[in-house]
Amino acid sequence: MRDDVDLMLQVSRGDTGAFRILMERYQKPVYNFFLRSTGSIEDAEDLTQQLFINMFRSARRYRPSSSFKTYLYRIAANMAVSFARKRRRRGTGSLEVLSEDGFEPASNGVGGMPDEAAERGELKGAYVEALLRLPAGQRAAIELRVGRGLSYREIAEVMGKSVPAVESMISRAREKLAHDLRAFRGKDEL
Amino acid sequence: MDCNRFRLMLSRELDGELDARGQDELQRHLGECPECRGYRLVLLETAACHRELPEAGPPPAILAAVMAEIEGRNRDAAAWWYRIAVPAAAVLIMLLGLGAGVSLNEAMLAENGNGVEEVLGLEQLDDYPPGSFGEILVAATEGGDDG
Repeated sequence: MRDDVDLMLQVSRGDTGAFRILMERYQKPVYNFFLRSTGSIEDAEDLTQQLFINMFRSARRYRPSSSFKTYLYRIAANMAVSFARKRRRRGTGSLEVLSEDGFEPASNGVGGMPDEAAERGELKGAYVEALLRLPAGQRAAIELRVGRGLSYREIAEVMGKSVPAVESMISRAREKLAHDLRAFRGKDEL
Repeated sequence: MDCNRFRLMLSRELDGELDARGQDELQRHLGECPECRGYRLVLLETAACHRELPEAGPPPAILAAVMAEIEGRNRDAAAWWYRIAVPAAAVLIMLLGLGAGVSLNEAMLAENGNGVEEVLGLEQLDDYPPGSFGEILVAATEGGDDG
């Protein structure tokens, strides 16, 4: 398999074949990152498309100083945060977008009883809502860590912060998520 | 008891980024703090919920749209280059042709003794004024030939 950085260097020389390989490799994680950042299929599609077009257009300025993955998620995280800012200014609520686009949690395959499955499904739905209520930066950080599997150091590179700042950001995001899940279950004691 | 520090440690533990010393300290705290034990269970639940979120496949139209955009852009760039390059190449060929013509003319003149002797009448260079360096030189040469 050809190395991402080599491919990107070829892209910087205008090679559309190398670009296609990179896009085929990364469009799914990028799309899911945006889906979880925006809660909207339509917005996730637009942002994914825009990210790859921007990446090609600015490829000539690419310098392989960090891994390709952190380079890519740096662009994605910036786009997700500025998108959230614009949406807040427009006053569009994430939760309306969530229900309109039918962004459903995973299939309810956990637990043998239908009631348990339904309860699990509701819990996941509550989790998604809680996730979309987080500030955009915290949401990006938790998704990069848990969803995309980046290390604290990589997230620090992506977000232009120190490792302790990232640790603290993720911890605060988890406190809010835990608080909302407890509230959902009627145990709002945090 | 200050549980905030331990909440940060619980988050690190969940991410597998808590060192052995931190683990020991955290376990001691959890042994005596029911609130943090409860918090830990909820954190585990949030992590499970996140991991179970579906990984959707992007619609194929995204790749197609992006490739169409960038290939169209490359075609536009190529067309622009073509519009500039063809006239530029034509001008270059004309200039090169002109340069080659001049060189060829000079080469032909060189073959014919440059044509310089005829122009300057150098066949009469032996007629040097008396006492001049030319006359001395010619005399010496002719003398040498005789000798």
